[in-house]
Amino acid sequence: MKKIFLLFFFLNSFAHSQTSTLHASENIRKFADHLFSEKDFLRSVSEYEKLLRIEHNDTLEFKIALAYQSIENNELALEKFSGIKYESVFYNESEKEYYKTLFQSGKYEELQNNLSKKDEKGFQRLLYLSYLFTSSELPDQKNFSEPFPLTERENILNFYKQKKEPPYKSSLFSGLMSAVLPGSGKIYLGEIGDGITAFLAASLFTFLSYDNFSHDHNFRGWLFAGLGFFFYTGNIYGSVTAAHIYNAKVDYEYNANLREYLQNKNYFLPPNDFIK
Amino acid sequence: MKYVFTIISLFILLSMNLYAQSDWEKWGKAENDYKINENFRNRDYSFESDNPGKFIIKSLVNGYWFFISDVDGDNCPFRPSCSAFLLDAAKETNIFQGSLMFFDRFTRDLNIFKQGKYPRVKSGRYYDPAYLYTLSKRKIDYIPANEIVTSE
Repeated sequence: MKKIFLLFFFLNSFAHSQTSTLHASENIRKFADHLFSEKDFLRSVSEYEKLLRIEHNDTLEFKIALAYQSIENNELALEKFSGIKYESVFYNESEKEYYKTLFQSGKYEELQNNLSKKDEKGFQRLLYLSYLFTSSELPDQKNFSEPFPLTERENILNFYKQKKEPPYKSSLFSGLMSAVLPGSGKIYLGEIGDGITAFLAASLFTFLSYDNFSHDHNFRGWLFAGLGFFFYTGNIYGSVTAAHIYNAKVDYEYNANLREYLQNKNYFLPPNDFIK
Repeated sequence: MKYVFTIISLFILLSMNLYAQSDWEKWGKAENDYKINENFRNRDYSFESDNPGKFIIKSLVNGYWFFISDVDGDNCPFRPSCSAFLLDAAKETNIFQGSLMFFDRFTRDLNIFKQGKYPRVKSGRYYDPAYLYTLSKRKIDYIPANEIVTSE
């Protein structure tokens, strides 16, 4: 009787066994698409690659390349985009994405060499935008804005003007200002607190030196004079270096703003339906 | 002229009130860490230097560390600290340029309005390395203010 009961429970487990295979191609694809749409790109790639081992599919190859591009694994993205064949329906799109990846990874020279002979507006936009990041000579203003939509031209021209005439400040001028009036060079660079402190430090030690000399305390007079001299010259030096740092900040903010703007506009390329 | 020194002293004295503790902060929970900072403990007191100028600077800094800083505590709001900045500055450039860099740094340290102008290290101190001030534009690696630098 005991054996019959055990056998009954054992056989009963088959009644609820899985009917469809979890690892069927269709299920893997659904899971991979889910991961992709959830922006879990790396895991979606491993699922798509499982499918590619079973059958060749250019949609999957394109999505793998897009996934690598999204996680900024630019080398692999470039390799995958360039692997898509001319016969594929994704060839044109993958070519654009290839150049976008080159742009994203900062390979501007390679991009400019490849795009200089292409006439299509999408490519021309990428080419012109790449000039905003390099020291190459910019085309004239009218030609530069021509490939862009009318609504965006004003923004693009603002970046163009900033590139052409960056709002740098002169290190020589700030140094000279600090030589004339301690701290004024720093104030010119917007460092008002540093400027006032430098003025106070230099003038305080100068006064202390003067006061001690006038009361015949020569040792203290020379000591404060030395300290005052170093605060004074240190401030001139600091004003020059602060101008260099100010200019580096101008470059940094220009690049960061431009990069953010282009990412929001998807580099003026048509949006991709796969990522929603 | 007679009152200039008094006015300046008064200004410095009164400006302290700007950062005086407000009442509610006094009773707030303090996140204290009583461990001694490893960098502070493992200071390099050696006199190794490749020229006499750097030897003089290292001797002065060693003296300052041994007699003042180690006793007074790790109080500099910057990283590297002002004394370590002087050593780095002398290593990066020379004794004279290093001294100018130090006096500029010291002036910036005296500035009571320096909050929010520098990137920070994990401990919250301002990150301000010497290589930014060597007059070499190539060496300047701009980091936005208040960004946490994880290298230290």
